[in-house]
Amino acid sequence: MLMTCRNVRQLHDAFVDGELSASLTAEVHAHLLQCPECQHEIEMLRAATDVIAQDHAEPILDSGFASRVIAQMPKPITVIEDAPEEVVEHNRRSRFIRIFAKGAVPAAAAALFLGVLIWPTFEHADTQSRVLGTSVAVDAFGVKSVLSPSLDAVADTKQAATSLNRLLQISVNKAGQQVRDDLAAKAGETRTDDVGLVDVLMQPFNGMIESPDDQAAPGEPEIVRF
Amino acid sequence: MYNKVDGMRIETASEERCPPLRERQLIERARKGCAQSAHALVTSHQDRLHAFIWRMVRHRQEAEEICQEAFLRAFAALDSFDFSYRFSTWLFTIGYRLCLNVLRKKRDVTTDIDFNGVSAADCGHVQENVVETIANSDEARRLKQLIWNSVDQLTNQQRATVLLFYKESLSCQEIGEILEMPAATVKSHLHRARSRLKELLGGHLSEDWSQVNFGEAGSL
Repeated sequence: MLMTCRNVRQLHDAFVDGELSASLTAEVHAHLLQCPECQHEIEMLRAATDVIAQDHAEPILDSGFASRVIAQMPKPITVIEDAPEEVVEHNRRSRFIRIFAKGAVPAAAAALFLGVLIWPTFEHADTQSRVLGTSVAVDAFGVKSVLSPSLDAVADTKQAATSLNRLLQISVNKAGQQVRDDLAAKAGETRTDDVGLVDVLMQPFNGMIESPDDQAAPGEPEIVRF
Repeated sequence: MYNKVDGMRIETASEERCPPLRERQLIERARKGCAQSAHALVTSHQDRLHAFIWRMVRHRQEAEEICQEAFLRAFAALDSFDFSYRFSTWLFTIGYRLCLNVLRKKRDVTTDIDFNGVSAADCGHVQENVVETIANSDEARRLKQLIWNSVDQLTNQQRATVLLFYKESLSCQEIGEILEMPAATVKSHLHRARSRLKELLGGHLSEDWSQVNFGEAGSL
């Protein structure tokens, strides 16, 4: 099919931009060879766009233009020299130390928290007012810390752990007293030695364990109950 | 600018396009207040931006003022710059908007065009090449003037599209980012600009215009 001038005008942009397929491009070329008018139009526009692209007749700015722009900038500016290698290396090391420190603080707080949990429970009365050896005021809201918030949290946690230990101690003491009374009632004597935690925990099971006096009578089978 | 012998594009120190990584470093340091980095950003973009603005407003003093204002506004908003775009795209967008503001204030664009505003001395070119001598012959100069006159008669959007497409060698997508329109709209403006240029030039160019040696321009 031979291409007409109208076809070429419609395809002109795509042809100039190189967006036509190979076959269509060949057809346009074939038409241009036979149509001086279309060829003239194509060449004229191409020359004009080449001039637009390559003609640099615009005035150029003087060498002080950039300095004038900088001078008018409202934001205060300073001259920052390129950092020498040693400073760059120091900055890298400082950055590493900062990153390490960021991770070390939470780790230290966690270690303190764990230390509080296994802190000795037998404390003098006045250590309630001491946090890590520092005397602090005690009020109705708990231990006050003069140190950082992380230590506040540690102090509160320590207080909570201390309270828990005391509660357990009280429970053990009371239970121990009860066990002593029970044993004394059984044996008909007063037991004065301290009852340990094991005795308290074993109390429910003591009744299940038969004493030599309670052994089954001869002839009766032994019954082990779980 | 173009090499006058083989037509290959070469870049001067001022118009050399900054590599993206280097550009990002300059912008980040300029944000912190580094004058050297800000200065480097200005010098690497000033010539291209000024050429575009001058071709839009065709007035030397106004072009310089607009160019300066574009840089100041760009630096004032540098903290919000999006690194997914090139700095030049952003600069040209600001420059184009400022050009439109100026052009809207003018009633008759043609009467304000400073055709005499550019002399050979202003161009700063050194004529060392025979081809350039021929290119600057009277006939070539006349035809170049005709071509630029035709460009000046395009609409603002068509002119901006033509300048960015041919002088800056930007794609329709990139032009769309600067002119804040879809790429398809850019193509439409480009099509209309070409048709208009053919219409304007067809009535003025003599039959033997193709014999004029523009230098590297005009060759098929």
